[in-house]
Amino acid sequence: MPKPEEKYEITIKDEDLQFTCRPSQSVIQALVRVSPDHPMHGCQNGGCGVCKVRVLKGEYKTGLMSAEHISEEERAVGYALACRIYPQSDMLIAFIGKIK
Amino acid sequence: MALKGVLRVGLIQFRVLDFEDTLVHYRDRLGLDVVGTIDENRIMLKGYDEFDHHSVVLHRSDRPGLDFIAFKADSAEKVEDIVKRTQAEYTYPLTEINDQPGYGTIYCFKVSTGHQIGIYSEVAIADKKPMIHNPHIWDEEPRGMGVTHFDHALLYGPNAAETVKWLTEVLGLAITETLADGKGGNLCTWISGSTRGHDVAVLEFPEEGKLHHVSFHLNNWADVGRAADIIGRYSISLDAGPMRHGITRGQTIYFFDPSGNRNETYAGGYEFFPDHPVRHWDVECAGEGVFYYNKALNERFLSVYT
Repeated sequence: MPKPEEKYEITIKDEDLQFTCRPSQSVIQALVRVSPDHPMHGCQNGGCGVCKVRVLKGEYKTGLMSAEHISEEERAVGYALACRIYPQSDMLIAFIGKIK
Repeated sequence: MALKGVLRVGLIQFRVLDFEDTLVHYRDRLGLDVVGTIDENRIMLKGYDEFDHHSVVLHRSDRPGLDFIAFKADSAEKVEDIVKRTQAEYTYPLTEINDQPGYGTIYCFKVSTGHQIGIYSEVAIADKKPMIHNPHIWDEEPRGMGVTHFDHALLYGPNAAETVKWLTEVLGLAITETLADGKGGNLCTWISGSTRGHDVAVLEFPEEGKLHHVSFHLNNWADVGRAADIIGRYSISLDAGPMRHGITRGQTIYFFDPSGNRNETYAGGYEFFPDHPVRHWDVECAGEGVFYYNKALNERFLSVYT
């Protein structure tokens, strides 16, 4: 188990954006503190889908996410909503966004 | 009775991802009262200042968003008239909802925007309701933000002009304000059956059946400030505000429930009467129409919905 005060480095692929995130924080909660106007800043609660990402590297836990935006199959291959990703290691993620 | 026909929007059922955090949000933070359960996946709530059995149903599901919204009419005859006229003039599929405790049949049409919009006249008075004999201002002091009642919703969907036509011509509701789309039509229309600035608003949008926000009424600007304090204290996901709308003049905060459905707490605004002229907004003034102080829409207003 990670220590509560531990912080991990989150990198968004193809963006000049790195920030730290605690395991008790979602990636979006950490992101909006350094980039409040980032297009991934949506409902922050697993519903709207604007923060859809693919995890390229790193360990993480997830919370509840709308099945409209993340299917079981997608979840199995590393797609998730960043507002429901809780890092367990440093992470590299790619921003996908809502598919319309 | 001063108001006739369709009186107001009175019931909304929407989906949430869980009950644990959701009940804390709606019961303890907003201050709605839990009325009871319909089944293992649905919980009924109401505002402390509402008389009807319940006004909000939380439906546990794997995806948030709107199930249906329904308007209360003053008589069964009015409901029958609306159903007959809709079936004669529109191709909207009809669903009869008979499983809402305290309610008679809700006649629900799937309208052109893809939303289920219902009409009913029969609903029981709630056990826990505003006092009516030498009444105090409330029986028990309000909790949390102290929302008084479910106020309105903003719906996003295609072919909005046709749904607006149905709401105004068949249900008999009145347009209070419009926001032009710059192409000869309206991007958004605000519609009232009561003295509220709106009971529902409908925005033209490519995806069907989407919910932009569910709004709950607060008594005044001071209560909006207190709601903001509660949002800060409990780290509720804030969208915008506290602020004022130019459209309807409401004083407001947008924030998100634990499943990402957008909520609003809304106070003030003008009183509307059906003889008032419609207020029109040009598309280049959309920013101040929605965010009267900032005068610019934020990205989330159009891109974030359930």
